[in-house]
Amino acid sequence: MRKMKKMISVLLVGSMIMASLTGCGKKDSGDSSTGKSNVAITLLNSKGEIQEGLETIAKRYEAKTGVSVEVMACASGESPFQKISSMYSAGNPPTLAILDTTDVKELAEEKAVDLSSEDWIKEVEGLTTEVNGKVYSFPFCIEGRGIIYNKTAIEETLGREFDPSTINSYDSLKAIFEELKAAGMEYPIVISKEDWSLGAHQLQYVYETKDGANGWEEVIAQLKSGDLKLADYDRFEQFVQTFDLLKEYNINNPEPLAATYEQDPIFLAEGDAAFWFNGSWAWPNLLEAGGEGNEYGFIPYVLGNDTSDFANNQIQACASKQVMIDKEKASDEQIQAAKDFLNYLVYDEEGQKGLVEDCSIIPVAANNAFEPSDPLGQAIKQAMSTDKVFTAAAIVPGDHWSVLGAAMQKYLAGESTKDELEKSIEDYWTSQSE
Amino acid sequence: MAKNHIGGTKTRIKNIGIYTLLVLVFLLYMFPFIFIVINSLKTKKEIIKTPLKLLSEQGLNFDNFVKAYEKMDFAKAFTNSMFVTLSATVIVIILAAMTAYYYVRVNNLLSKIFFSLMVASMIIPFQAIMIPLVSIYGAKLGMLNSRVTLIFMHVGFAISMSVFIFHGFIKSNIPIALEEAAYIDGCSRTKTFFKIIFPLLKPTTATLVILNVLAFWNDFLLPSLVLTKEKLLTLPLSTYKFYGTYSADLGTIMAALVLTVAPILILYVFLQKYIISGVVSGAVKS
Amino acid sequence: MRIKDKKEGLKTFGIFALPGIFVFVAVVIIPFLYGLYLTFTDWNGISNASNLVGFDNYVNVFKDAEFWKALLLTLKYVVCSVLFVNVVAFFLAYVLTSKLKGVGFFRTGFFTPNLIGGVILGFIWQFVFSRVLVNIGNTTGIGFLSKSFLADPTKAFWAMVIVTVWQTSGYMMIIYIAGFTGISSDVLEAASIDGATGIQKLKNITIPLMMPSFVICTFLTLSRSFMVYDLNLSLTGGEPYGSTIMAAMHVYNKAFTSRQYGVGQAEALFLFLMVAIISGVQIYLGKRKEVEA
Repeated sequence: MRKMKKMISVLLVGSMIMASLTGCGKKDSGDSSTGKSNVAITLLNSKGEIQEGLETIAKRYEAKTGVSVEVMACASGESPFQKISSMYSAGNPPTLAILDTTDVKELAEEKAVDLSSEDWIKEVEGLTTEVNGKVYSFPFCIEGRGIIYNKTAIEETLGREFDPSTINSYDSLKAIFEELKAAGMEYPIVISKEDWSLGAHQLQYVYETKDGANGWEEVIAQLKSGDLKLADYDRFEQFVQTFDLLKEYNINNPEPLAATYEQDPIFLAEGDAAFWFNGSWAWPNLLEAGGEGNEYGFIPYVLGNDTSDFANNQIQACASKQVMIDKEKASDEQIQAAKDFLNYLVYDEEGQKGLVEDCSIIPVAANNAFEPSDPLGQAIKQAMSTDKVFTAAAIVPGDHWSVLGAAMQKYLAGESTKDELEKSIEDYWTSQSE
Repeated sequence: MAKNHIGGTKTRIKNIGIYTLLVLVFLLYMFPFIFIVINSLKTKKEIIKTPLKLLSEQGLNFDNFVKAYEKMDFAKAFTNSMFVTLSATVIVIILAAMTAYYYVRVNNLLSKIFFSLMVASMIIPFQAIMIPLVSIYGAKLGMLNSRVTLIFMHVGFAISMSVFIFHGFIKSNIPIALEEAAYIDGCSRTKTFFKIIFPLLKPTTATLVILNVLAFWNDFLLPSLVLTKEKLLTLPLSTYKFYGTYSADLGTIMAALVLTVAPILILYVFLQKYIISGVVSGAVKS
Repeated sequence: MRIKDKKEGLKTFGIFALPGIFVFVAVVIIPFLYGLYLTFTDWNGISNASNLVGFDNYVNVFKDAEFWKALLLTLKYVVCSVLFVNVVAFFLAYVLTSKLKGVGFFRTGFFTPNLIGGVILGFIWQFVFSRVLVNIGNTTGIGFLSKSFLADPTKAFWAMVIVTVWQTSGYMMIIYIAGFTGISSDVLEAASIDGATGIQKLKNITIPLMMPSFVICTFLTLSRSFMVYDLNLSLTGGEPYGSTIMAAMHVYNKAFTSRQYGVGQAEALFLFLMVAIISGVQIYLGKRKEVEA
């Protein structure tokens, strides 16, 4: 018995030591905010590549206002929706969350603060996401996508000037591919096999180019109800025609699915290929691939041969990430602090600069005068100011990119026919209406 | 007896064969680790373009290590990982050994039920209890963001496997005669367990220490659910920020990985000799 | 441990088993039961509102053709990996417990794959399968290698099995080593004196005495391969075109990408039940063969 008591006391002492240790730990993590204010807010970041930039901004913001902003990362491979779900389940949601538009739409009414009357609304006109007439989120950045060209490589291969504005139809794209091929560049374009690239960025043109504005809603509604057959929809026909062309001239042939996202930018940067279908976020990849010496830009994802068609003259660009403020657990003080932080990003010169320079994003707010430092960002910004963009951005269910991305991969690999692809898309949508 | 002689040469040839095979397999197993070490000294571009090259063009370049060390707040994260891993391992080993011992020796219905439950629980997909887990401990009990809660959960998830392994070894390798003798000498149950039984479990304990330390040290999903405050992050959590959606900072990741793995490797080399020493066979003989 | 009366029995239970059981119940069983309850609701994983929907989610499990496809593939994967992992691990352990020089060095080497996890592992192997092997294939003219493993559904499946064997065998090896060192060397010596050959000793003494290790390792590989998620995500990501999505990945996607939490949870439960039955049978059969040492 005495031995047993001894045992128990050892265990007790052990657990006390542990408790005191953690006590220490807690203490030094508790009083980290010693500025003018002791409000602390958290920000969930689902855009991994700007984590460092956001941390820099947060540090600067704390030095200025005393409000600490803790930036929490969402791991790659971990879906942002799972992260936010588990944080809400834990009763521990972030004050601010940078999420995809489709996630924000789903959560807005239940979880997010109504931001309709914020000042910055007028700076981001036409680029907000509304849920039943109200704005619940701050559009964080503009991302544009299209066919990136390497002008330097094209001119070196062809030995002549290249004017990107001449590529404004299916035929003209085909012509330049053939010309490049004849000049020795056998496969002039890089098509990444990633499901988000195929299923979201490419396939979504089918909905978004309906009219370049909100027409996609009608397309999707009709697909859901089964009223629209893709075979009768000209945009789908044009899309497949263009995609077939890209497929034929893809540098990742004969094994398009063996492509790697590490190798793809190197093809473009080194001039092995002249084009890469991707978006403005791809600059760091090109930079790492050593491609900073070339001249880049975007051409539209051409559809059909009508050269006056907006889809052949404008590239797609939209507000791609949304920031919402939690109303469920955040205190009034925190909500105010979060709103102030957003205002800082929009109106304070330091905040504006931080977004552009530290995070290298294209801000949505029109009053931000800082020029993007990278060529792809500059290209998008310039296109926006010269009315060369359309801002339609289809909001699709969370699994659209993965389910239809797989269908697109299958088609890319030549493992399915156009009819089968068509059927996968139609089936996907009709199953959504249940 | 001539047969024996030939056997000697044969053995030698056989040994050479075994060694050659071992070295080949060894290299295959070591390859990724070597790959990480050599690439941790290169820039991302070099990693992508010439991943198999031994040395970077600039020679030894420790920039990645410096960057990783600073960015992940290594000292802090290391302390957190160490605290969580060590506490959880010690607790889980002691609790599991005792529980397994009880299951083996008191083989009543209750033991059978809980033993089966534990075994069965090892096949629950973690994703299936992750959300309920955080809603109970977070929303209802408010216990998240604490290292003690994480230790508690680590113990809960790891105990089944440790009990299972201890159970198998106690049952087949620890004769009951040993403890009977101790009782006759007047030892209490706890004393008998800690003085006689527990030391006999050494090879198994060493194995389980390695397996558990490894599991706790490298675990990502559970800590990411429990700890969100920056000051509490463990090593795997602190390398989050090197992964982007569209691109990953490969050089820094490799360096961070070397920094994370090194302590475990040292521990493993050190603990190995306890597995080898084969205490059990010695004790059973006596 | 002889128990004299009920009071003492309780005390023994309280000291030895209760702490372990308490933590286990609190962390695993209670959340599990709560999860079970959630399968009868239409909760989406985040909302405050949810309704009881009876067995709707289970009906949906049976309607979800993709789930069954994933499950079948997982079964195939489990059979292959359990077999290869244990054969490789057993022989590594067998060789490394004989009196060879430098065993410690080798053991460390074989265990290293366990030290690296997650995304980086996927990156390394992706690189090996899509570039290194292709390169070797092209230079040597071995046609089989010259095409990327990851671009073909069947070969991508085998890539998963290969990496699993590579990663798990070192882990199982140390459990087998612990088992080998537990076997009294007296018995083996006695057998040698009686004229038993190496193979005979292995067959008649070592393997029967190793039954507990076999049971443990088979169970561990079985359950792990059924639950495989990290490797699936980082190596193939379910590609090419969704053909390598295993059960756990499907469940995760269902719950968090398709936002059907209840169905995902029900599928996870179904998966659990199936694995429970299979490994229950496996343990039962294994234990029956176990020799009383």
